[in-house]
Amino acid sequence: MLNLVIYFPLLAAAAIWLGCRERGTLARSLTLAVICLETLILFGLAMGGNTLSLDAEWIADYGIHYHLQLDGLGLALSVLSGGLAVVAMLVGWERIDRWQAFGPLLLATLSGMVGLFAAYDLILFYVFWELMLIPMYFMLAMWGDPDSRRSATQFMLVTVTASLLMLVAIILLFIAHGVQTGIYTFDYGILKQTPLIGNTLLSKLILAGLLLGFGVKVPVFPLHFWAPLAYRKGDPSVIIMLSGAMANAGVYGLLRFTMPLMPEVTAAFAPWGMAIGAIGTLYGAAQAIRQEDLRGVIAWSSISHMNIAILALFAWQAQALHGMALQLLAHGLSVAGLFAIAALLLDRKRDGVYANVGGLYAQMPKLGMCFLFFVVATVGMPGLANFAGEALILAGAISRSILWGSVGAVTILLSVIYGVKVYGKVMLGPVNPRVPTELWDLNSREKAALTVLIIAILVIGLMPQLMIETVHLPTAELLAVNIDSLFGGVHAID
Amino acid sequence: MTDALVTLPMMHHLLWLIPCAPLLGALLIIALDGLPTRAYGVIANLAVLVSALCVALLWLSGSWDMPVQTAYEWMHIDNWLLDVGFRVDRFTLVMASVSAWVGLLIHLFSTQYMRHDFGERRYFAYLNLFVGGMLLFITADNLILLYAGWEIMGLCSYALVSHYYTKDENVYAGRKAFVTTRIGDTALAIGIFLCFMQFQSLNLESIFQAAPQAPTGMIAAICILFMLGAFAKSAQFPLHVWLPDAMAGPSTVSALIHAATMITAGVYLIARTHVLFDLVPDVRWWVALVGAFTALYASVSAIGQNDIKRILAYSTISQIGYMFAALGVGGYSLALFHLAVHACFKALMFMSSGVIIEIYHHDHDIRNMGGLHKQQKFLSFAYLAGSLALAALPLVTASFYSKDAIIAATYTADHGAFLAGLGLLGALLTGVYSMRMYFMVFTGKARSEIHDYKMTWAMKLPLGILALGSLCLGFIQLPDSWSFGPHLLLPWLEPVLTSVALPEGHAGEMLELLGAAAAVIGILIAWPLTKAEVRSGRGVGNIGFLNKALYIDDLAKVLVIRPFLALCAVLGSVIDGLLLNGVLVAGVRRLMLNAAEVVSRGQGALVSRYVLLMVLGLMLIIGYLTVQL
Amino acid sequence: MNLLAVLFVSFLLFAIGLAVILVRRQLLFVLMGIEVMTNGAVLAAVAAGQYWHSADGQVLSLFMMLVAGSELAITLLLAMLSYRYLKVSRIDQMNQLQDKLDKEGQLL
Repeated sequence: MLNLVIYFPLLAAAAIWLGCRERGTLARSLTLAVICLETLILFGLAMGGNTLSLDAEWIADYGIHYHLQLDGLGLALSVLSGGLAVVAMLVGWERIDRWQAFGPLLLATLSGMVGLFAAYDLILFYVFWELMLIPMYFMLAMWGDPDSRRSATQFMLVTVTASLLMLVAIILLFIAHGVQTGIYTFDYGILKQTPLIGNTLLSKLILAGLLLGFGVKVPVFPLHFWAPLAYRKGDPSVIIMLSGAMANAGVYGLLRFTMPLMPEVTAAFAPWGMAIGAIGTLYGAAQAIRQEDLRGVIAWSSISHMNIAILALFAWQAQALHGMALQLLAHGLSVAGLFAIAALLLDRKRDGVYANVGGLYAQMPKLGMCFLFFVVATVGMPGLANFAGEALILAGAISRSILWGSVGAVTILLSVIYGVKVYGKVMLGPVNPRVPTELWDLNSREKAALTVLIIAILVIGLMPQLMIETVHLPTAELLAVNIDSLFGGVHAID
Repeated sequence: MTDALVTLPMMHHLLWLIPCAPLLGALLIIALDGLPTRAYGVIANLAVLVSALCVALLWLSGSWDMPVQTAYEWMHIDNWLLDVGFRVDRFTLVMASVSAWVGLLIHLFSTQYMRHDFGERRYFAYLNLFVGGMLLFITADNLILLYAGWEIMGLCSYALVSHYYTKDENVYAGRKAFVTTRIGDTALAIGIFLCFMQFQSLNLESIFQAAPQAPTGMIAAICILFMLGAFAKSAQFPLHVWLPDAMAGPSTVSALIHAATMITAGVYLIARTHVLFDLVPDVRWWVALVGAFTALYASVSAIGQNDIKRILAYSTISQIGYMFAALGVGGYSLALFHLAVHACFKALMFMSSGVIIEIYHHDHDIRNMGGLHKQQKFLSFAYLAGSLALAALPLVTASFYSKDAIIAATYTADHGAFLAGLGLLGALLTGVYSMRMYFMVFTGKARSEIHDYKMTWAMKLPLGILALGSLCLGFIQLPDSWSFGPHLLLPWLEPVLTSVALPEGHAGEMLELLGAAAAVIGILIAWPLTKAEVRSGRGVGNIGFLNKALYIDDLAKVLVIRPFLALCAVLGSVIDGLLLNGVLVAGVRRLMLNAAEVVSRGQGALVSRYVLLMVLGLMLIIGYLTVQL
Repeated sequence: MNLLAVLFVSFLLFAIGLAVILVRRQLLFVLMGIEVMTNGAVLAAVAAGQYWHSADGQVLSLFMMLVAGSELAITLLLAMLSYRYLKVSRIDQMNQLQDKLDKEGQLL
């Protein structure tokens, strides 16, 4: 079953690539069917609530296992990736050409993501990580604004460099663990039972490598420099996958591989990590306020919201970690919603630059309402998904550190500044004379895409307990790494 | 009163309906597509009616001593036991009655007022959501749910203030309202999280029980944060700047914001958490000071306004200031009393002002009005009732009983004479601007064309009820020092919401007399002032200092907004522009290019040079080996 | 026969060949230089074989002549083709594979 959900999209990708050389529409339909099926299977598994696992020898000489384990958290993130892929397809239905190429790439990325969330071996994880990244480069470079190739190349160089650092860190971890215990293995299940002890230079180097490797993907402040350009220039459908689904992989990696594998050094770093998260959150929001175009605002808002997750991660505390899981889902949904709006405006030949829009509400009230809904979700309106995540994160972070928790909480204010500003500039105000008058409101395909997101955001927001229970077991297992004693004096005061 | 007239044991299972009926109404209006426009108004009215009836049932069944209902688990993680739960006590019930019933009257009024207006469906959806948010805020039994209601109101204020979205200034006004109140929301949120950290609970009851054992420093921090939240939401100095601009919305929206919902939320918040504030009287005193100062400041600003809605906006700020002054000296139930009275006359005046503005063809300037009394008798008498209530005319209006008690209560606090003095001066000015507004609009000759406007029962009924309330609501609670008459409200609230002992004897009598005199003198000043203004065409409204409300708004623009935006820009250009994209990205790029150039220079594409290098290399190796051997 | 004298001659041949390669830019001369160098090496091999009374030197020299011959055949062919298609016979003009970058790092 586990192999099926991982390789099904990849095999389908190969089949579609070989079978539909000239038939774009057929490729499009097949891709959608495959992704829907995949998502449904994943959803069913998530509802089942069981942890799937599979363990086999792979490269025994180097202690590399073919070890897969998909728990509630991984399942939830996988379902999110699948769902977002559906949305990305629906909003790119007419705009994206050459589906015979795009579909397989999308499927391959999805395959990589599911595999990554399931991988329980560091080398296997790395393999899926690359499988996820490489198709993304082609999607970024070949679709999107005419000048997207440059930003795609930058994305590729930065992420590949980061991946290499991550690989080096993984190998160092392998060696350090072997030296400490005599067992040379990449198997996560074995590694986490005997975490690295001590705050040595080697463990610091490993942590730094992992932080850089995963942080670029999140993107953690100040490793975010590639993101605004890539998010702004890429096709919104691609960016839905990149910002909504793939960014989660970075946080997921940090969550799995830092604190559980080397608690002492990570705990020593944690206050800095919280500071980075809090400052990054505010910085992203402050930059979002400055932007003069829709996609720029969404890009920075995404950076801001992912940094809250980092704040939660390093708070390493029950509410914060549950909140982080919710935040990953909520951010994925809401940022996908906003990029979907950007995509729909692009379909209507509106690029979202303030000078070219304004007063669109008069022509497209339904689209406007959906836009406002996503904006409101993004700013953390109670009853919607993001609030559940943010409230838990901030409560947990404040319990750990009043200073950084409170600094992070200022995002409540800043997010609303950019949120209502961008909505007002695009949808409200006097009608911009440059806007053509024959814009159409949502059609049924577009409605379907947005409705999926809206319902998901509402359900998670009103009944977050469902999600909390899904992610509770893995989170509790992670929290079993008792770091209260490691945090030492500084945090004990709080 | 305490005996149940109707026994409804199921009542506490219906608590959820109070906030949820309007919320569901809003959902229905959004979800049901293609109904005739009129139907949306009906749905909205019915939804609020359900809430109002539920509140009435609570009264009738006498179930006000803390019925609690837990609807479902919201988020449960370790100690974070968060439910969607509701509770009602005496205080809540009074507040819910004000919001639900005044809200209902405003809804009813809107059905005619917004008829054939712009965006009716959107308007009713948000209006319902607004009332629902307020009722959720009032009936919540934990801090997060309370915050949820609080935030929903913020959103609705944004949407409704920028209802006429085709004008940039309206959109800006909505944004300003949302952002400014969000400053307070942030403070409130941090306060709530601190509460959770301290008490490991979010439930109001358990927090109140544990509060006395908590460290004072923490309680003070929480109270200061709550106070900031309340100031922003309730438009207290200097966070009041959003309210005058919020007049961009329809007048009924202003009525709802000022009377039944949002603005009063701050007062409710502090009264609700008064257990915490009682533990830190020093912090509480600042509430009183800011309140009293705001009461005076806003009265001064109101005098200089010519826009009828801006006068009302500043009058709200001022009246809420009195409520905060009462809260700050511990007179919580007095604040609630004034809140209820204020809700009546302010809703009345805003809705009437909407009609007045329609009649003068969307001109807000009172200098262009006048002479309306002859045309619109009913409107004139209703507005007179409201104006007199605002001015607190002694004996016959309700706010005489509520406001003067507050002024007397402030006298008992530290530096009480100062606080009471601010209050009295404010009361005097209130009389002036309130009656100036009335005289300018209704008396004298018409200074511009008066359009015909026919009010139906849907308008007259709410105005009539509210006018009656503005005049008579005070009679339920005559001053304590008066041995006769009913004293119903304050003693009844005593178990949940305390008040302070008012000064008695000589000082008490003096204060009563002074309060009454201030109002009367204010009203008396207004008449000649108006006369002179009409005759000369120039008046207090031409004084820029007053008209611009002491330039606080402009100061905020210069001192806060511009530096903030500049900071964002500087941070962005330094960190992203210079350090990351300048030094890091461009630096790495340059490094790579230069390195490539150096290496490629070695490749001169000249075979002889390669050979030379090869030979030299060989020689080096041979030389090295020779030396080694 | 004096071994040293023979080796000196062979070194001289090698050095002359190398000098030709380093100095001349005509492709044909460079090829000739290579041949001269090879011959120097062959001479050294023959002399060494003679000195040690071993057949190895002669075998080696035969191999080297074979290699030199086939190498010459191929290089002359390439020289002819390059003259025919590229119209160049000087090695300093044969730089078509060189990467040249502009200021922006783009290939010229």
